[in-house]
Amino acid sequence: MLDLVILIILLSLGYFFGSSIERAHFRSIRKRESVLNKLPAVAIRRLPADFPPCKTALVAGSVVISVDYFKKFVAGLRNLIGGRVSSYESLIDRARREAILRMKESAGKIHASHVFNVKMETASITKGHRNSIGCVEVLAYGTAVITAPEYLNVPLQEEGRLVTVAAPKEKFSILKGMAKFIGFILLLIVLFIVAAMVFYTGPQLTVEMQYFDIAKVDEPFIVSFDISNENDEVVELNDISVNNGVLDNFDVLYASPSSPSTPDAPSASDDVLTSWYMEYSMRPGEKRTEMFSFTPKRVGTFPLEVEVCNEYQDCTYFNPPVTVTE
Amino acid sequence: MLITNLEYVPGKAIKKHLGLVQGSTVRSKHVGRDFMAGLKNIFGGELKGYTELLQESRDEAVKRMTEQAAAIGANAVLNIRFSTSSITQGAAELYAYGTAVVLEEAHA
Repeated sequence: MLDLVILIILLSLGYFFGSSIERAHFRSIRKRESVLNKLPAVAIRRLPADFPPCKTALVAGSVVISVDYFKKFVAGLRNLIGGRVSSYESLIDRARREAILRMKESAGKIHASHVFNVKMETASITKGHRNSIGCVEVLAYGTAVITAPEYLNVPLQEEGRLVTVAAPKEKFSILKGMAKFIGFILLLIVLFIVAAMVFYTGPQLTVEMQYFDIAKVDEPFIVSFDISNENDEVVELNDISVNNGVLDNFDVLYASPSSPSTPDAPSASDDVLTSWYMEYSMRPGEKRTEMFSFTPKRVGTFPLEVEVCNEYQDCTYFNPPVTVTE
Repeated sequence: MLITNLEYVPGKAIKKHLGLVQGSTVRSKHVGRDFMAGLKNIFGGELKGYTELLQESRDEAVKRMTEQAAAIGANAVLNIRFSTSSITQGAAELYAYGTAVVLEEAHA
């Protein structure tokens, strides 16, 4: 399932980015070709007999171009039935024209007027490796001739070296796009972590009613319950508290004789304790019994709202109804 | 050193043939470039890192070839050819070869 999602993401990225890059590249190629048409590059091996005196230099242009994921996929499908793989044809076309343009640009750099004996070479530099990137290098090279008299006697800076130009700056920056993309992913991860921290429900404790007496007005009765850790890990029993609303109907007293607890300070409004901090780590399978003493104030049926919380403040509620009689 | 892929040099005469000279270099892509290339492969387009790498390597191959030619007393290399081959994954050989000659000014 995940594989399929990744495949679809890669395909759509390849399709959208790849086709826009290709269009931009063809635009740039057509524009530069129309400019460089005045610098002919020919494949003839000898200069015409009546060619003016000239100086020569070896010029080259090369480009490594890679297929996008979508094209690779389409070509893979095409392989099944055979026939023209047009997605690769346009790729090679771009590469060849780009290489020739760069060769001509190199020739222009040294003020050459023609390029003779143009040779092309195409090499798949990752040939035969499955899962590797499919990319192809195209090299175009030839002999540039300089006929302009003002440059004829100037020694060439690139004497004895291959004259090349650097790859032009891309208008469409993949790096920038990637930075944005990675930033977006990082943001998602941060959001996910925050959400996980907020909504994380740690392992919870189990509360089980053990026993309570028949409740009568103004007579204290004991409620006892078991808190057990049924998880495979240590869970901290952070606190046990009684909902404030209970205090309208009962007087409450925490009554467990042996429990290590730190009662919190009584609030200013009433002098009754409502929370007991335990901060006690419960081992897996451990069980402890807690007891409260309640003194009902009036007749009726009231819930005893007690909650038992772990360190993530994930609480287990425990509210058995208690019927109070005269 | 004059280099060309023509079989002669206009305005010059070949005084002496010194035979084949060659230069080659095997370059591997480094991890950073490979990684970026891998990313770019999703989108397609030019792998500029590789273009530059192969260009540098080709310059190096030409330099070795011209050094060899200079060592045997040539002042030009004619009919230069290039060849590129992928040897193993992650390494490419760039090869340049040509004919070393001694040129002199043509007597018209």
